[in-house]
Amino acid sequence: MTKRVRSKIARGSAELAILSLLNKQQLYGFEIAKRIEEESGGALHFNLASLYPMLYTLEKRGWIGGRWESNRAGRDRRYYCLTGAGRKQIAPLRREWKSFFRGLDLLAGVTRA
Amino acid sequence: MRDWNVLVREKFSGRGLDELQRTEVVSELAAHLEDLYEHQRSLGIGEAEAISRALNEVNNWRQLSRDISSTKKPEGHMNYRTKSLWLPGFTTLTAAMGALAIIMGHDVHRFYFEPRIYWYGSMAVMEIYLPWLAILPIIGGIGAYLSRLANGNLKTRLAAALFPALVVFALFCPGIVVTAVFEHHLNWHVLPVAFAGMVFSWVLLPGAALTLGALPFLRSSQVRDAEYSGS
Repeated sequence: MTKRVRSKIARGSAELAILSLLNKQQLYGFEIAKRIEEESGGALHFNLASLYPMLYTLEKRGWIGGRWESNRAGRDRRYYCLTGAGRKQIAPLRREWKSFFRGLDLLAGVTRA
Repeated sequence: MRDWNVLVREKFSGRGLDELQRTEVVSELAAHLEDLYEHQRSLGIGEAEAISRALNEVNNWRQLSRDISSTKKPEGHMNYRTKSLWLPGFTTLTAAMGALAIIMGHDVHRFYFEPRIYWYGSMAVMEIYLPWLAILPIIGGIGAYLSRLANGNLKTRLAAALFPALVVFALFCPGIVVTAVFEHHLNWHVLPVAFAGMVFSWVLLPGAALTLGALPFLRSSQVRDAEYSGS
């Protein structure tokens, strides 16, 4: 399994990680945290304390929307989906991260490590 | 079976939130802990350990409560668009017009009372227009910077920087129509040329100067650290 990224680095990636996941399907909080960990190969981990403030921030910006629905087990969960404004943020965020990694690679030779 | 709702309600103060918001947040956080607990149990982890792991999701409930409350409470009278576009935009507009007024200084009197002599003279270009144009990159930079501070995206930052030029253009367009309708003595062939000249001098060139200043703030900014604590 990939080594888990330290929390401060992981936090910065939360916006893109959440938007990318919700671009595929609507999910509720626990599923988002679980999927982020699974799909990043264990490198990224968001616990409750780090996930929900970010979800509410994205919701306040109008990038995601939440509504209560029953999950497969029949329990009420607050599902989040991407809004039009949120969808527009994905490409610029990806470019931002690409440029960040390129810069870091030039500086610190990350891909050669 | 553990009542996660009661547990979260005890720990999460949600100060600043109304009762409905607090209930909703408590329900959502409790649901998360419940799911996590059940997930741990499904992996074969003992009940005590599963509860402990779920509770370890939050080290500092007071901090979490502060973070969520500050995110959930209303923004007050300024929303995202106001902070990222209108406020920086009106700042650049005021600064650009203020700078023009300051440069004109005591010559304002001449501008109003001897417009033909003054305004069309090369002195006006040298003494007023060019110094004003030279200041605009700073003003454009301030607009884009303020917009970026408010998390404005690329287009918003550019619009905030270009705001004075956009406002002038918005005024010119109806102005040329009004002139065409009411100033019958004007030659129709002159109007488009005059309009093009005015747009070039007061929209395009200032726009280019404002954009020049905004450029450092239009590039992808460093990845913003998320504004929350935890993990």
